[in-house]
Amino acid sequence: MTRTRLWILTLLTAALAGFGGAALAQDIVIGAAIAQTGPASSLGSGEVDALKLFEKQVNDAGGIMGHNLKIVLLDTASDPSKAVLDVRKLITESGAVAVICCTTSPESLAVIDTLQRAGVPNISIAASASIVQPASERHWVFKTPPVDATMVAAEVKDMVAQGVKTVGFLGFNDAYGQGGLTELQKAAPAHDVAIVDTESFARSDTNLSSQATKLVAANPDAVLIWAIPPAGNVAEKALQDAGYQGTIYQSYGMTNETFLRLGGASLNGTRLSVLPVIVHDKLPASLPFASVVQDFVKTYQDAYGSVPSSFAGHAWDAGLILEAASKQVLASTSPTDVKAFRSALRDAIENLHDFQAVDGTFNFSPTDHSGLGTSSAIMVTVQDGAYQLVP
Amino acid sequence: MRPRSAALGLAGAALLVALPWLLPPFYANLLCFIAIYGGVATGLILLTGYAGLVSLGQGAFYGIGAYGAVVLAGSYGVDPWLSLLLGTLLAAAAGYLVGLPILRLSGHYLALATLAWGIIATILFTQLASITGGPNGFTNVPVLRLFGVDFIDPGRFYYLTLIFAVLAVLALASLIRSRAGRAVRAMRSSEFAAASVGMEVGRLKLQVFVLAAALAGLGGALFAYFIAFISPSAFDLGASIRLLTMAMIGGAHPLGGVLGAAVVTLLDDVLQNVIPNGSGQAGLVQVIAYGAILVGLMLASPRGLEPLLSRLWRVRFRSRPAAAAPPDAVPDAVPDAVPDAVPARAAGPGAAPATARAAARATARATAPATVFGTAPATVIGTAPGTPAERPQAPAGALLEVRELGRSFGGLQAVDGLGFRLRGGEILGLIGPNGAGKTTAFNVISGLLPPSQGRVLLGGDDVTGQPAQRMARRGLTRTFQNTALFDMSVLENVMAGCYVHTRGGVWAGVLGLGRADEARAEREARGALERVGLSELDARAPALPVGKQRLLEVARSLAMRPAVLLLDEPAAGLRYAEKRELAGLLGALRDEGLAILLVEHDMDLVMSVADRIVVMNYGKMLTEGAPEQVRQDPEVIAAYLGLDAA
Amino acid sequence: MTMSTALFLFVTGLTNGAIYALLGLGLVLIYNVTRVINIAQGEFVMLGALTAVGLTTGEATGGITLAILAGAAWALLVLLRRRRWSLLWLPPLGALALSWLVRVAGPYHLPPLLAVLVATVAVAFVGAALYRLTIQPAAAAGEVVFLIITTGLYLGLQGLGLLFWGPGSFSFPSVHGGQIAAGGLRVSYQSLFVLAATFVVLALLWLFFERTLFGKALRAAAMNRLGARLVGISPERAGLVAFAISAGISALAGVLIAPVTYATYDMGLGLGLKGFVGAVIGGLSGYPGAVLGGLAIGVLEAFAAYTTSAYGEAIVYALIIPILLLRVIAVRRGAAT
Repeated sequence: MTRTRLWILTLLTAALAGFGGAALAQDIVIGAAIAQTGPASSLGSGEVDALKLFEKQVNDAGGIMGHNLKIVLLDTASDPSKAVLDVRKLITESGAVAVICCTTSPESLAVIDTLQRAGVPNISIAASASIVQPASERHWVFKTPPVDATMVAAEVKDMVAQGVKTVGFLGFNDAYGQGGLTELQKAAPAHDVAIVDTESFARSDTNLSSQATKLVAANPDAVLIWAIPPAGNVAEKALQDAGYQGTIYQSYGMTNETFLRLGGASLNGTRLSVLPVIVHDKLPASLPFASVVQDFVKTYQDAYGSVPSSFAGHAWDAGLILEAASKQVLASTSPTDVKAFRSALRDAIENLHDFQAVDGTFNFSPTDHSGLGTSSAIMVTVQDGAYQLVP
Repeated sequence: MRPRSAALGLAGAALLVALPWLLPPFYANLLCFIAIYGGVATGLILLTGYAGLVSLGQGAFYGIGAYGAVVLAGSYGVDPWLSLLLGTLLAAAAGYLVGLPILRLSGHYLALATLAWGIIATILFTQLASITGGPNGFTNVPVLRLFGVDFIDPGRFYYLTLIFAVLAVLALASLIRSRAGRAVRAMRSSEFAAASVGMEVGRLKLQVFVLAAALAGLGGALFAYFIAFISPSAFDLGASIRLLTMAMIGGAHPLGGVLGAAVVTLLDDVLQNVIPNGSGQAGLVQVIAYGAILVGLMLASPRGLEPLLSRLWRVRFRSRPAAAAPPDAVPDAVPDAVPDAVPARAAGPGAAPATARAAARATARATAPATVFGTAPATVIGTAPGTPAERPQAPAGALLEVRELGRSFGGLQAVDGLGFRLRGGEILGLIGPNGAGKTTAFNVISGLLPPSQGRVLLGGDDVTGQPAQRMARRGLTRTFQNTALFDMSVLENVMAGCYVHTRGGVWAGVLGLGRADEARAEREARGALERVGLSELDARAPALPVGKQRLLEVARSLAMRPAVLLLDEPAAGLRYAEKRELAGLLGALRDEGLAILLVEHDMDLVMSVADRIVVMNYGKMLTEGAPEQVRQDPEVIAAYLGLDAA
Repeated sequence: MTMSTALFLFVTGLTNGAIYALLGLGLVLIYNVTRVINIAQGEFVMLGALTAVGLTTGEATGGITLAILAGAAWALLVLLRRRRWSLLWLPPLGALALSWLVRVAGPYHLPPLLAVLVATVAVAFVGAALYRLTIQPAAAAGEVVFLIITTGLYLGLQGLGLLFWGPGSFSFPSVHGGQIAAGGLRVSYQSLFVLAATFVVLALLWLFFERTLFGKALRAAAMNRLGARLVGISPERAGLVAFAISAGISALAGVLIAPVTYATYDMGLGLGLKGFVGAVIGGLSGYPGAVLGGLAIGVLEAFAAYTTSAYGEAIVYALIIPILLLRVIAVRRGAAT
């Protein structure tokens, strides 16, 4: 009995006592709510690494115009409700002037209301277009990854170039998969490509033979798979095992190291649109952001010994944008005036033009809080365990 | 209420109201979560902790309430406050529809069925995107507004959730104290015993399930308005497991839900603060620590926080010990004064002056001929206090008649061709060697098993195959060979017997109605206990010595105001003096018009008390007659002692 | 749906079902002997698969580390109970030393068969240790308490999986790559192996529980703890053995499925759930029932996914309820005649 009481007391005390470390008044505090655990952890781990590296790099170079950069990281566990809680904590307890949230689309959508009411700018690193649309209702929200529409459009254009007339779809039955499907359903008809069959599966499904069989029976010229590893690998394998002979397209969500490692030689001929960072060593020098990408990759590789994922790139871009915007704002506003600083930051971000970053060239405007153009989607094919640019 | 606990309660209430002002602003968020989850977990504690029905799908009802409320308000323009109510009703309706089929299952099957339901609900939330917004969630959540005040700021929203949590806790506490609460707990102890005292077990389960679903639904609706966004992942299997964890940590107590929610929610936050965020593994370590702490908590205290909470607030199941209860103007149907044939007992609390009671009883006898137990045909239950319960008419013929009764299990004929008649005011002894089929016969007659052949008539009505609870309501009562007592106090066990002639279901219990009925039931229960000679009213029934347990069962049966009483070895485990008293009690009951069927192995007792005796052997009826006759019957002797002794 | 498609779905369903069956066997084994419903059963699958991967490809050998840690905790517990305070330093030090040794001797590139053996033994040991540390102390508690405890174990083990191996996915070499084609049907050798393994395990379990004295003692311990004690059977020992065997079977299942579906740290819950469903449908008491139930779930899943992939899973779970109801009614009718 006393033991239980002791438990309660301990927990209460710890809860009250241990809230966050205090930041110096001159610090520029940025809150980041990332999915470090849960289903989206494979995306989040790269994002965390990138943010920590960014913080270190900025502070080693003397901070943002002399102000120390402090990134407060919280784990959302891939849960939208927790994301809301985390963001509220970052806003009220940590005194963040801006927030980077979140890894997945549902989480990013969940926090919009809180952010808008508190007047805090947010840069999301998730995929869905509805995070920043309609722009009139997303005054405070921006995002760095390109919208699915851009990536799908590139693939559909490639399909047309390859002479594809019919396409099948195989994707997750959740936010990510449905995002791809929605865009395909818009883009395909516009290019005279007919969707003959759509199949879906849960993230945890291990047996996709049923769906593959159906798709093979419909016999489309190409199949678009919209998933993340290893499910995307399983899907491709299932299609091959079921005897599919056409072209297989994958999504940009597949581009972490697992995809190529697991698939091996069986992936030869697979086509997909990827983000610039994936083919950093093959980018034509004419692309204005090529140097930014290569610098990022080198820094990351030196620090962690491995190539960054595209998700790490999204997070890095969020950092770059906030740094640039802060530099502009610091001329007139001090970070101690939190409310004014937040508002000024938002305006500064929205006014960024021709901003070169890892994901491409950002051009924000009051009607476009996503900012990326078609140059961010690069078509590649897989050959012998590596990506080759499509000429 | 005692002044000290009143003061404590007031201080606690003041603290609860002031909390958002005392803590840093972020913590109002946690408080809201604790209150919301606490209310939902309270419903789950009712379901799992008290009724013993494990549900791994509570998240589904939580989600239905949430989606129901915000979809109606956001997409169809329903007033947000109304949508809270509608969301709750939707969840309750879902609870009814789902509960109807799956509550026929129990144990692990039920757990699995609720698990399946939870997963189906999540899939529906995800796939019905046109209504729910699909996996990307539903964002069009309006604001709750009252007299121009917006409930968006966590500090303000807290008061809404506080009301919810408080209502949930009070509702559970009120329910537990009530007649229905007792029935729920009885049902958890022993379903068949609960049925034997007339409780409609199936209906109770469904009502409890619906109530828990409703609480979950209201919590879900509040949650949706609080976050201003919902997506299917908030209501999946993980959420259901979380809720169950909160319920288990809190333990079976009205405050358990809120405290369990507090522990789990604060644990999450503490881990986040205590484990340094600098390490990239922070989130991981939090999850591992969470799992380890969960295991540790359960190992340290399997009953959760319930022992601690019971010390803080004992939810008392009976009113204060009555000083002298005033004698009723109209006599109780069960004579509860000192019986004539049994030696006088010390007057315990609640005992009115013996003379007044005896006088009252005499009056009752004078007005009701032959039997005290009513003259109207058996129909409705639930009579006003004081009037005799409706009981089967006592014709000149038999009260209980059994014709050609048979029961087989596969190839074994346990009872074969049993037939007898039992009148009011008569004790019929049923004897036979072990395995003769006596208990099976009891089970068939009392409705626990349907017969394979034959008929049972009660008061002239054919009641063959009627389930146990119907038989109980018709005035037929039984005790069990292995005592089937409820895991409650002695007094509560007997009050459970009063179930058949009191009123008040789950909803009445929640609202705290039916106190008068409860008081009456308590008086009757005390009387019955006095009658059998038990005085330790607060002792836990399973902890009593076996002999007293049997007497307790008899008392519980008496509380049911039966017309026919089936006693299965009531004297086993009693000492000689106690057996004499029991014999006296049985005689007195017989004199009052009760029809008693008695199975016993103590021959002296049976022979001395029974008017007639039926002998069974290998399922068949061997003979029937007066005690002396039967005692000397050579066949009977052969059956008991072997052929040589005949 | 053509006949050949139906046949194809049936065969793939059986393959997946075989994994569920193996999991179900493990679950039923633990339940029969200790009355515990092990939510964390799938985590043993994950540990087995990933440990084997680590031993062959030179990645992290988390399973070995876990076994060392669990062993140290077990030793500490034993010492504490026997009040040997002077020796309390031994387990932690031993664990550190062993872990360091294991780390230094790596990275490992063992032949697959050896890796499987080591992984299975390691996970079996972890299972036994977890029983001793978390289940046995709560032996008198109700079944719902066990549910929460094993939930905590599931969370902890999954977190450790993420810690040791990260969020990525890994493959493991098949027993024999390629497929056999028979009558237009293509079945991979791996699938056949999984099926064969399931039936072999089933046969071995049957032999163990029906023909050996120790096996019968295990069953006795489940039916009546006190009674078993009175005739000299130790319920604690029974629990240890049950958990060890069950964890070992699950680890084996993990190694078998990894070539087909790839191993990740969060593969456990989904598999464990389906295994649980299969086991309950089969009655949760008999081993053949668990196997049949698991296979049935696999086949149901394949057909449901084909019919409507969006609602496929919902259909499978929705069918569980009538199946359970039918079971209960059948049992009641059987007892009533």
